[in-house]
Amino acid sequence: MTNMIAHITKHELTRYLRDGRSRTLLLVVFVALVASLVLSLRDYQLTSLQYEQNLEQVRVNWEQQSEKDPHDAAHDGTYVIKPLHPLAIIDKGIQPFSGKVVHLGAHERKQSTLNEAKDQSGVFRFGELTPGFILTYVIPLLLIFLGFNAFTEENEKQTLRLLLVQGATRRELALGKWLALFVQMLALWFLLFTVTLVVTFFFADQVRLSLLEVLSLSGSYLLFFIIFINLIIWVSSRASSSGSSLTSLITIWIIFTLIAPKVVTNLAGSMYPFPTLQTFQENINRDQENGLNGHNFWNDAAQDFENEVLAEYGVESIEELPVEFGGLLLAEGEKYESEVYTKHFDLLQSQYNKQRGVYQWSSLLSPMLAVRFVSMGISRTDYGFQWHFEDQAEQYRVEFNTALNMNIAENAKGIDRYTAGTELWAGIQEFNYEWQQANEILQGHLQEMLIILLWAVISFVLAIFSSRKIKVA
Amino acid sequence: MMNTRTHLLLELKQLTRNKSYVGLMCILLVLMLIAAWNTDVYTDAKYEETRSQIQLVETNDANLIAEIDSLNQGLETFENSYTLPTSGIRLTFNNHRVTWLPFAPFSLLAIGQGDLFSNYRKIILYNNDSYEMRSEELVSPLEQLFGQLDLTFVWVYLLPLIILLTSFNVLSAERESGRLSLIASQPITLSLWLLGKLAFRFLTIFSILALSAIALLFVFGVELLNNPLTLVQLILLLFLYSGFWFLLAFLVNLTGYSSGKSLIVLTSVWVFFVFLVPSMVNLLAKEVNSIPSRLEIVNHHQAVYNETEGNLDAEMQNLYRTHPDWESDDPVTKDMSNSTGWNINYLAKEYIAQLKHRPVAENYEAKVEERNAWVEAFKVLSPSMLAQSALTDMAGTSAGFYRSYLRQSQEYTEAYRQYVFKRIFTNHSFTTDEIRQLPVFQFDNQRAPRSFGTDTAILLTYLVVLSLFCTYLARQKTQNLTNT
Amino acid sequence: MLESINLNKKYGDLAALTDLNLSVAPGDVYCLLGANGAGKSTTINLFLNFIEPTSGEARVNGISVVDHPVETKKYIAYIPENLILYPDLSGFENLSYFSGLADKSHDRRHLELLLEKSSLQKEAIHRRVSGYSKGMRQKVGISIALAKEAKALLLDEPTSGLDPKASNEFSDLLKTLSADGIAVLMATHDLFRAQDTGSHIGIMKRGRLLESFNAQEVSLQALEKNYLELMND
Repeated sequence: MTNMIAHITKHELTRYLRDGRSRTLLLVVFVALVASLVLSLRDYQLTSLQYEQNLEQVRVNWEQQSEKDPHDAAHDGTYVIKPLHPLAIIDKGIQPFSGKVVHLGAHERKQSTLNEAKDQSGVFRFGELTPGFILTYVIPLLLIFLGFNAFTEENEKQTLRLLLVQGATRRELALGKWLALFVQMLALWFLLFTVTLVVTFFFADQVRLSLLEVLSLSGSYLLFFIIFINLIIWVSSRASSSGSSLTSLITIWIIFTLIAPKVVTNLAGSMYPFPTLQTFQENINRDQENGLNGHNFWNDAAQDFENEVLAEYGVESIEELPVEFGGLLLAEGEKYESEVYTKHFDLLQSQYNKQRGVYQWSSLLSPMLAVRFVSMGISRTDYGFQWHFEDQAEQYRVEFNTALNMNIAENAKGIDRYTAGTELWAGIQEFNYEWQQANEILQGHLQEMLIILLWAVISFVLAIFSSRKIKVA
Repeated sequence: MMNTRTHLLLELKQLTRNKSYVGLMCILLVLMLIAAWNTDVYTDAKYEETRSQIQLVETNDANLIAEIDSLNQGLETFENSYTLPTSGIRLTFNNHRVTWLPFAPFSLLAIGQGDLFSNYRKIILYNNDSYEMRSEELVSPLEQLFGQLDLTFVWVYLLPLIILLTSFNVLSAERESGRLSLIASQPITLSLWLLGKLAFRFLTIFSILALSAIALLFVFGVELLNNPLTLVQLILLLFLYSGFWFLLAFLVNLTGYSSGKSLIVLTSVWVFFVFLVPSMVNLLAKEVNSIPSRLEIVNHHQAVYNETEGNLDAEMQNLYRTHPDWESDDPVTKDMSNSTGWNINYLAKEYIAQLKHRPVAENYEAKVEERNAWVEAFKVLSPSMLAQSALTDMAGTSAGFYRSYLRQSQEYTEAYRQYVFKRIFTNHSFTTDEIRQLPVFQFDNQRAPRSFGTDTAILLTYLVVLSLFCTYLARQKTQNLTNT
Repeated sequence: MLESINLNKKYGDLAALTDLNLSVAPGDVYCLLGANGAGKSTTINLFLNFIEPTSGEARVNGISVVDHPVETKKYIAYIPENLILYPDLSGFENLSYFSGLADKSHDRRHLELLLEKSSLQKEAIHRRVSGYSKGMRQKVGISIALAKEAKALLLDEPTSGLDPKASNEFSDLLKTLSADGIAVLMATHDLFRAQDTGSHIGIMKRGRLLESFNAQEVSLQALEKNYLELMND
C-alpha cells in the first residue's frame, strides 16, 4: 500500500511540475512571500531604530526639565513607548491599529495613543503585504488552485476507471494526491519555518524567544494548510465537475477568510460591547469621588489616612510629623487612584476576553480565526500584548509617582516652595518592559491550537472517508 | 417581439434553476442586509455619543449662566477663580467646547474610517492640542483590524467574486457539456451569443443590486428624495463597478479557457485588484515615501515645553509683545499665589510651547497629507480602490473627511483660544450674554477633499478600455471558440 | 444545397481531407461511410465553419461558409453524435431557446407540433431534458432543425448508441425530412442504415472520397463487399 501511495504521489508531482499553472502559481507566491519577508524585516529594523532613538530622547527630555516641584514634574509626566517583538516580522497583527505610546502623568491612567492607521488614507484598510497576509489568505488560495481538480479531472478525462482497474484503491489515490499537495505546500512552509528560526536565534537574547514558540507558530500554520488540503481533497472527491469543485472551494475560502472575521467581530462586539469612553470615565470618576485624592485634604478618606499616619508616627498633629504630609497624601492618593483605574481597565479587559471567547467558539466554523489568534499571540502583536504592555506601564506610573511624591514627603518639610532638579529626575528608574514568558503565551492560546488540531484531524478523516465514495463517471 | 420576451424568460428560467447562482445571490442579499443593519447600529451609537457630548456642553453652559445670574443677584458667593462663574479660568477648566463632524445623509454606505475616529472632539485649551495626542475612542483594535461589515465591504470585496463565480464558465460550461456545437451551428456568432448571455446576467444582478440597495437605504431611513444626486451617483457607481467585473468575465470567457482555468484567472485578477495592488502600494509608501514616526513629534513637543519652562519670563515678555491686548495692569493676573495668576502663567506656558511646536507639527501633517496623496494616486491601478474611495466619499467617512474635520477642529480651537485667552489674561468677567455667544464650531463640507468625480471617471475609462479589448478579442477569437 | 469544391484541410503535414468535391441536392440523403479518421467529421465541421479549410470552398445554398458564416448557418441544422441540451429546461423550452437563437419566432402550439412531428412522445414535451434518452434528445434536435426551417441537415453518427427501434424511428424521420426537400449529409459507420436511408453513399478513406454511388443501385451485400475491399487496400 505504501508503495502504491508513493508511486501515485510521484506521478502527481511529475504532473504538477510539468503543468505551467502550478509552476507559475508556486513561483508567484514564493516571490511574494520572500518579498514580504524582506520588506517586513526592513520595516521592523526601521521601527526598532525609531524606538531606540525616541526612547533615548524621552529620557533626555525627562532629565533635562527645569527645577520644579516634583509633583509638577509628575503632572508634566513622561512617556513610555511600546517595543516591537521581532516575530512581528511574521505577523503585524493589531500593531497598526493600537497606540504605541502612553503618557504617564499624575492622577490619571491614560490610554495609549499614536495609532498608525489614523494617519493613513483609506487605502490602508485594504491591508499590508505582510508574511501573515500571505500565509492566511494567499497560500490557502494557492492550494485550492493547485488541487481543486484532483479527482474531478480524473473523471473528466476518464482516467479514473483505468486507475481503479489497475488496482489502485480510492483511498490510496486520495492519500497520494494529498501527499502531492502536501509536498508542494511544505516547500513554502519550510521558508517560513527557516525564517522564524533565524529570527529566533538572531534576536534570542533580546526577547528570550523559545524554540517551543517557533514550533507552535509554524506548526499552527502547517496544520492550517493541512486543513485546506483536506478540504480540497474532500470537495474534489465529491464535486460533479472541476468548475463546481473550484466554485465550492473558493466559496469556502471567502467564508473562512473574508466573511467570518467580520461577522464574528460584529457578533462579539454586540454581545460584549465596550462602553463609550464617556461612560467609562464617568464610572471611574464616580469611584474616585469617594476615595483619596492627593489634592483634597478634607474628605473622609483623607481624614482616615491622616489619622493612620499620625498613629504610625505617634504624634498628635501634622505639624509634628518629621515628614511632609502633603507628599505622603499624594503618594497614597496615587495608589488609590491607580487601583480604581486598574479595576476599570480590568473590567474592560475582561470584556475583551469575553469577546475573545466568541472568537474561539467561532473558530470551530473558521479555523482561520484560531490561526490568526495563535499567530498574533506568539508574535506579540495581539490585544493581549497591548494589555500586558499598558498594565506594566501603569505599574511603572505608580512607582514613578511614588518616587516623586515621596521625595516631597522626605525633603519638603518646612520649605515654602520646594523644588527638585536633575539629580532627582535622573534618579528615577527607567521603564523596562518585561516580555511575557513563552509558556504563558502558549498556555493562553492552547484552546485555539487545540481547535486547529481538531479541524485538521476531522477534515483529514472526512477527506479519506469521502474518497471511498468517489463515483466513476 | 414576443420572441425576445420568450428568450429572456428562458434565460431567466435557466438562472433561477441554477443552484449556485441562486445561492450566491441569496448570500449577497443576506450580507447586504446584515451590513446595512450593522452600519445603522454602529452609526446610531456614534451619533448618540456625539449628541450627548454636545448636550453636555449645553448643560454645563446653562448651569454656568444660571450661576452668573445668581451671582449678579447676590444669591451666591464663590471662593476663587476655579469656582467663580464669571471667571475665564472656570470657563476654561470646567466648560470645555465640543466640535463635531455631522453625519452625511448616505453614511449607511460605509463605516469607512469611522471606526478609527469619533465624530466629536472635546476642545480643551490647557492641553497639547496636537490632535494625535488624545483619542476620544474606546475601541478594540482587533475590531479595527478585522474591520466592520458594511455595504462598502460587501460591494467592493464580495460583489466581484459573486459576479465572477456566476459568470466565469458561461462559454466553457457549454463546451465542457458538449452543447457548444449545437449553439455554434446557429446563425449567430458565439461572441454575440456570449455577450447576450452575460449582458442578461449583468442586468439581473445589477437590478437586484440597485433595487435592494435602494430598499435598504429606504428601510434604514436614508432620505433618498432629498438627495437624488447622491442616489444617482450610487447607482452609477454600482453600474460601473459591477460592469467592470462582468466585462472581465466576458473577456476571460472569450479566451476560450476551460472552466477551471477561467476561474483561476479571474480569482487571481480579483486577488490582484483587491489585495495585492493596495497592499503593495501601502508597503511601497513605507519604502519610497516614508515619514518619520510621530514619536518624534511627541518628543519635540516635550523638548520645547522644557525650553519654555526654563526661560519663562523672557518667553512671557515675547508673548505680550505679539499680543499687546493680552497684557493687563490688574495685579491679580501676575500674582502666582492667586489661582488666577497661577493659571494665567500655566496656560501661557502651555500656549508658548504649543506655538513653538506648531511649525514642526504642521510640517509633519503636511508630510502625512503628501504621503496619503501619493498613496491615493495609486487608486488608478485598481477599480476596487476606486470603488472604495468613491463609496466612502459618498458616505462622508473617508480619511479625507476626518482629516479635514480634525484640521477644522484645530483651527476652531485656535480661534476659541484667542477669544478666551484675551479675556482670561485681562481678568475679564464674563457675562451671561458672552457665554451664550461663545464661538461655535461649524463643519465646512466644502473643505473636505472629494473624490467621487475622478474615481468614477477613471472607472469609466477602465470600462471603455476593457470593452475595446473585448471587441478586439471577439473579432480575433470567433473561429477558435468553436473548437471542441 | 450543400456543395464542396476541391475542399482540403491539412493539420501540418497531415491531410485530414483531400480534394473533396461533393454535392447534396434538396431531398438527397448523402451518407458518408468510412473508418475513424477518414475525414467524415472534418467534412461536416467544414460545412459548419467550425474549422477553416486549407484550400477549396464549402458552400451552402451557393454561399461560401467562410465568407458568410452567420448567413449560411440560417440554412443548416446540425445534430452531433451525442446531442446535449440544457438539462434544467424541458424539451419544449430547449426548442424555444434554440429557435430563438436562430431568430425564428413560432407560437407555442407550433413548437409543440414540431416536437410531435419529430415523434417525441407528447407527455415528454414539457418534462425536463435531464430525464430524456439519447433518442429523445435527437428528436428535439430534429425539431430544432424544423423550427429554423433548415434546408440542409448535417448529422454526425446520429444513430450510434441508439437501440434498433430508436434507430429505425430515426431513419423514418430522415426519410420524411428528405421527402420535404431537405438535403441531408450524414456521417455514419452503419452500412445497413446508409443503404436503407441514404439516396447517395460515399466511401471515404484517409481524407479522400474514394467512391460514390446511388444507394438504390447497390445491394447491401455489394456495398459491404465493396467497402471491405476499399478498406483493405
